[in-house]
Amino acid sequence: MKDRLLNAIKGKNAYVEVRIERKETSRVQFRGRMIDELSANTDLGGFVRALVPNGGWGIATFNRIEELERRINEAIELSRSIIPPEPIRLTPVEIVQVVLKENLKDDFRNYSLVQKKELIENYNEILLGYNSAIVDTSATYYDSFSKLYYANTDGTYVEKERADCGIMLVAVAKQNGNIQQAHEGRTSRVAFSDLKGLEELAKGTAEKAFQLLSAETVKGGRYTVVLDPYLAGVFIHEAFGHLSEADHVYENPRAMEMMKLGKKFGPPELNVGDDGAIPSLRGSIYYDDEGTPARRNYLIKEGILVGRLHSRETASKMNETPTGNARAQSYNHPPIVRMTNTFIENGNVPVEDIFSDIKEGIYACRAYGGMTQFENFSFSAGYAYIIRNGRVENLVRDVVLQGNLFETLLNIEAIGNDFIWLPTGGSCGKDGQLAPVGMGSPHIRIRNVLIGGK
Amino acid sequence: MLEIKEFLRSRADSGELYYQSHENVILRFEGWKLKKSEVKESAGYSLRVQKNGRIGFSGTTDPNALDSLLDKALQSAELGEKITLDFPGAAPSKELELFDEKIVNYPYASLVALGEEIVDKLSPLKNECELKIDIGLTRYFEEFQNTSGANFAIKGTLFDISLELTKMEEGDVLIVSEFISETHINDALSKLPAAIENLRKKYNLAKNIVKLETENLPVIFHPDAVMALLLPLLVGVNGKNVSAGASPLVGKIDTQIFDGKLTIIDDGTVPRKPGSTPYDGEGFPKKPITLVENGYLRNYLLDLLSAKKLNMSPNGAASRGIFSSPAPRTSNIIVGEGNLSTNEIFSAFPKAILIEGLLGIGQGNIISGAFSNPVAIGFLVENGQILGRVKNIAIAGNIYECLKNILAISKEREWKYGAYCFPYIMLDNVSVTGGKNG
Repeated sequence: MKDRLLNAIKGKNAYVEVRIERKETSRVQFRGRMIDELSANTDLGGFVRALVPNGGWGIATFNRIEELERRINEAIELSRSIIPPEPIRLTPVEIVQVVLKENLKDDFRNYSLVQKKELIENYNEILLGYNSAIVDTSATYYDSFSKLYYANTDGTYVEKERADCGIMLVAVAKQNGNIQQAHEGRTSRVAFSDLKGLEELAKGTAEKAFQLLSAETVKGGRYTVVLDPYLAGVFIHEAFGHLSEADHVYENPRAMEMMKLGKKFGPPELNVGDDGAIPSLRGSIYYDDEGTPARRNYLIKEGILVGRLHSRETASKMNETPTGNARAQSYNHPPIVRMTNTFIENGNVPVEDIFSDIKEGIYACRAYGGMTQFENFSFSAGYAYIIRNGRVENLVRDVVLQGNLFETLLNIEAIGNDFIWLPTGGSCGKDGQLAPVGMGSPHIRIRNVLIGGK
Repeated sequence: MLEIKEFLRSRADSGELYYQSHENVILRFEGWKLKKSEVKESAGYSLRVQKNGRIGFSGTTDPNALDSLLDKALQSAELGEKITLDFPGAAPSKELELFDEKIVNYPYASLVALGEEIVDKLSPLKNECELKIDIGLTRYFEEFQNTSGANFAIKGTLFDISLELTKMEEGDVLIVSEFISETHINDALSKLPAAIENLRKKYNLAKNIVKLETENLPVIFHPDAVMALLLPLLVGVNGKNVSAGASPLVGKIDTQIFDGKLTIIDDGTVPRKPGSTPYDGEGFPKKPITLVENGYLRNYLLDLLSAKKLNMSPNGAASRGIFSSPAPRTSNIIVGEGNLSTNEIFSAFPKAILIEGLLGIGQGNIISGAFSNPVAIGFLVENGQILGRVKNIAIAGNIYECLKNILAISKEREWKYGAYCFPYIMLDNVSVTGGKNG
């Protein structure tokens, strides 16, 4: 494949990059007692992106790999059709030629579909068997193995594999028309065996859905909020991480001003970064989809904005260094700037002290997901508790945290010392593309957070 | 396409073969100039089989892997759910005019010129905000056959234009957008001047920020925001959730769940609309499905599997893709018109909040009916006039309570996102928080 790709792009008077991807997936999903989906799929396709001198981006995607040469010419033609007022430039990066194998300790491809089905069926039975209030479940096992080939006219060639397997468990409890649900997940890029022995997790999921039936809806207002590491991870990803993606600001002078390096963003204890080079985490990519090596990028250090995430184009435009964050969902999409594994670094406050002097607050746990629109964010807790006089008390539901990023980061009051990388699998949506991302954080405490409700 | 029976070679008892292809051209204007052009082609097959009373499924985009498609579907059927689906036979359908030859032949240079024309029209705002335009042209083709004789070949086109203005200042980011999606280029182009005008109007109104003195106000949902109220219902009527027992609407057919003013129809047979299709994903001719009639729940959205589980008849609501088994899905969602004009609704109370955009729609435990969203674009309306934008507020509620008592639904309705025809809806029981501190 290496010669095929490098030959195809040779001698073009343009920057050209090509990506070929082949992905095999399997999925077993139970819904209640029935198998809702049991499938095995193959996805194969190619991507070409071209940039002629003084032109714009021309892009072609396709399924028939034999059409590669024709598609390269098509992308070059499109690039020629665009005349941007300012030329698009790409900051040079180190030229590499690498072949990376996924480091699998217990390869899911060595397990039969029967074994995968048995694994997830067992968890599904635990969810369903918890008690009669659990009326519905969704229990999914999935895996995917991709082989990616990338080459560009600078001479870079990256061949890499990506393996993912995981489970997703949802329990739905119902009583007198009240419906509540709880969900949990585990993912691994290393071992099928990481998904074994999770019976307690399944039981806990059903238990939480059942408990939520008797939880009250949260009363709306402003609260001091403690986020568990799961929600803190989603928070830093949603509320801050997206703003640090340079493509949100590089064409916008006012946004650049707002995200000026050196600006105070949080308390001195706050350190935030993104790292796509850590082995085998969910968002680890090693090389991005422009062939730039991934690395650790600090975004906030001691409360001060010190960096942002870049592609080669945004780095050039802002006169900064490419960070290895140009990622594409698949062959069907161009690379865009996005996070890999985003984290709040460990603090030094013991977890028990985080709650100690809160008179009335919310302890928000797990995450349904989040959304951000530049500085404004919204994210939903899976469940939450009322904190009274330093004690975590009754369960509440429908907790959606919202606010303005700039205010909220400055309102961080404490950072715990219990950092974890989240074992749940997260995917981030941006510009119509989904990408697997990792998140990590300790418990954190934020004052004056707006929570919608009655 | 391949002939299904020949393809299965008697290795399965029955089956469905589906082919789908898409060709897209997408232009992105950013920073007031054309930034990138994309040409996308994708195509693939999916196969659902039944063997020994079990169901199997597989999909592929590898044109050289069709033999393994059958093998994989049969392997899947060895473990698949034990249930027998009665695939439908051939049936006629309605002509829906989903294909526009003009889109297929539309010159690339004209797309560029169209984008430049929009840039030009909005250029007076160039010094104060940023503009992003996506223009997309799609041609799709679907082909389907099952072993009971149902078959279809559908060709269609789409012309999409999305416009977004972003204004940033310290402490305030304003994003306003408009979106047009049509199957015919002339339908899209005829809507463009109004969309540009709306965008400009919305942007100018939003520049003025006003304080909300009280949170205890009626809320008017603009057609752009009505989805926050309807999504929990659409999840609740999905046959998959009903048959699993997870929907609050189980056993509620022909009971009143909402205010008598509310009627909601899923209609995939509206000519020239992006949500329309002559056949559903299982080969049933599409027909309108009344979901809610004058407040009464009338139907669920059912595919073969959910209908079988519920002992009901499928109603042609299945949708399928290359990598996804058929499942119930909405087509065009049409909310029936009300009896007040928007002007009457705006002036019905001395003060009201108009909500045009929300963040986080679909987040949370929506099947329960709960919604809780920060307001991305909201206005204070006083004596029928929009006074200015209100910031940092959030709404919350449960649709199964809030929609029991609707103050008003507008006569005027607007098509949104190509497949939703929504009016303005006014409620006085939605919780609003945050305003006083905003």
